[in-house]
Amino acid sequence: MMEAAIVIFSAVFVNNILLARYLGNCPFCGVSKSLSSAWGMGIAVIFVITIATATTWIIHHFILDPLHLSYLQTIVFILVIATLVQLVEFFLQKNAVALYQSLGIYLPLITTNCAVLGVAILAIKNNYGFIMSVFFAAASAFGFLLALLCMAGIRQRLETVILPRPFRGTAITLIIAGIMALAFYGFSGMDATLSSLVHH
Amino acid sequence: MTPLVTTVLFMAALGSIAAIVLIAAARFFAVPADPRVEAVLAALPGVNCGACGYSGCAAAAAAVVRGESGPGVCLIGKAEVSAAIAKIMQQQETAAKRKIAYLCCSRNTADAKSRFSYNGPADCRAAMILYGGGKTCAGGCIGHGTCETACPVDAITMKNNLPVIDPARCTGCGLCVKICPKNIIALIEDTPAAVDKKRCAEYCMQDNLQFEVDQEKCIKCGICFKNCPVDAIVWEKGRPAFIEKEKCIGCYTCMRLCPPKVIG
Repeated sequence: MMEAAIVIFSAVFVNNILLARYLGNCPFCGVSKSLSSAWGMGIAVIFVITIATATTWIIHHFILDPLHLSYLQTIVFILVIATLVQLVEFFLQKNAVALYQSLGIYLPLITTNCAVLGVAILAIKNNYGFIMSVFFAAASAFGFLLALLCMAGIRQRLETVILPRPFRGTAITLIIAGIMALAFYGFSGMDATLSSLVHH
Repeated sequence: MTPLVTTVLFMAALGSIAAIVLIAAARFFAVPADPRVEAVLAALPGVNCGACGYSGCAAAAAAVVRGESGPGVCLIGKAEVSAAIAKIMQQQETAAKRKIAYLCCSRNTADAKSRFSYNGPADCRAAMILYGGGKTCAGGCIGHGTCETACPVDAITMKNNLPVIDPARCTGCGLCVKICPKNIIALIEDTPAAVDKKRCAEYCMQDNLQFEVDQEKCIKCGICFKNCPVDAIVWEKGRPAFIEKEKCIGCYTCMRLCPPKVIG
């Protein structure tokens, strides 16, 4: 239980997928212009990362590992995730129209994002069990949502500020991302300290 | 088997399985689409301006076919657009009522009192962050012309710190309505009666314009008197305040500021 809490804390704050690992920069810059779209994207990411990690964990441990094909991990995961998201989209379109409409365009957009693949691979690399992998995935995705919402909030305010021309748009976004990453750097090592405290 | 052969075979097998699963899913989960949606979409201008209230032309087309909206859904499309949609839907044509943007504030910075002078970026959204703009009146136009910049058809010009909207140029796209941080621009029907009626208080307040000070509970502080943007309040030190109904524009300022909350 305590271990799960530390994994979640670590995934959300210490190793935040956007700010510490710097994965998934495309949506971080592209969908952070308004809070509402950031929210939609964040929810879609939570949804996709969680189901993708659960599926790839099963694929890895029951197909790739027994067949000694772990070296195909990256390409197989990409294929599986893309297929899975497409499949889920079909399913939602027919059976959960409300969810389909609220996730809307964000679902296919996030499919082949490196954050999704990154979390799937990290869950394998960290030797998590199935349940722990799902926790880790959901927490990482929540960290994504958190960072994306912060960025969108900042950028909405930036809209009204006069910036020197070279800084406008992506440039200032990347600078802010850097400053936010520095702020989150303050969390570094906290997960290790916590787990050593728990184990003593 | 060499790793090369294994890899190729495995990926081919996996790819085929994925393809078969997706094809089966596409068949199984297929949602029958109404061909009229495509037809209506083709008839719409396709600029996705969002003036109709839907997220784009595709959403508007779907709404028409669902019966939520009529042939006159498109506000910027001319008569031929509604005629074409009516033909597809085999309905009587009902043209959209043309809507135009309308500013509900009628007091420029000289007319209405200011609480402070603002020296930040000349953008209403920035000024709004600082105590909601300089005017004492809660619904007062901040007057930095953010709507003027937002207008795609140059229908808005700033005159005496108030936007003036040219009804002939306005397409009713609603961009100024969305960008105005004070929410004092509204889309109204372009008829003389509607245009005459909706000004400041009449628009903002809707029906409740009768402000009164409770003479017994008034603590005689004079805050309402000092902040009234149109000097509609009579007050002397040691006496309860009184609102002159003819002058009151119903801006809520006194009600908002009254310490014992006895204005209503």
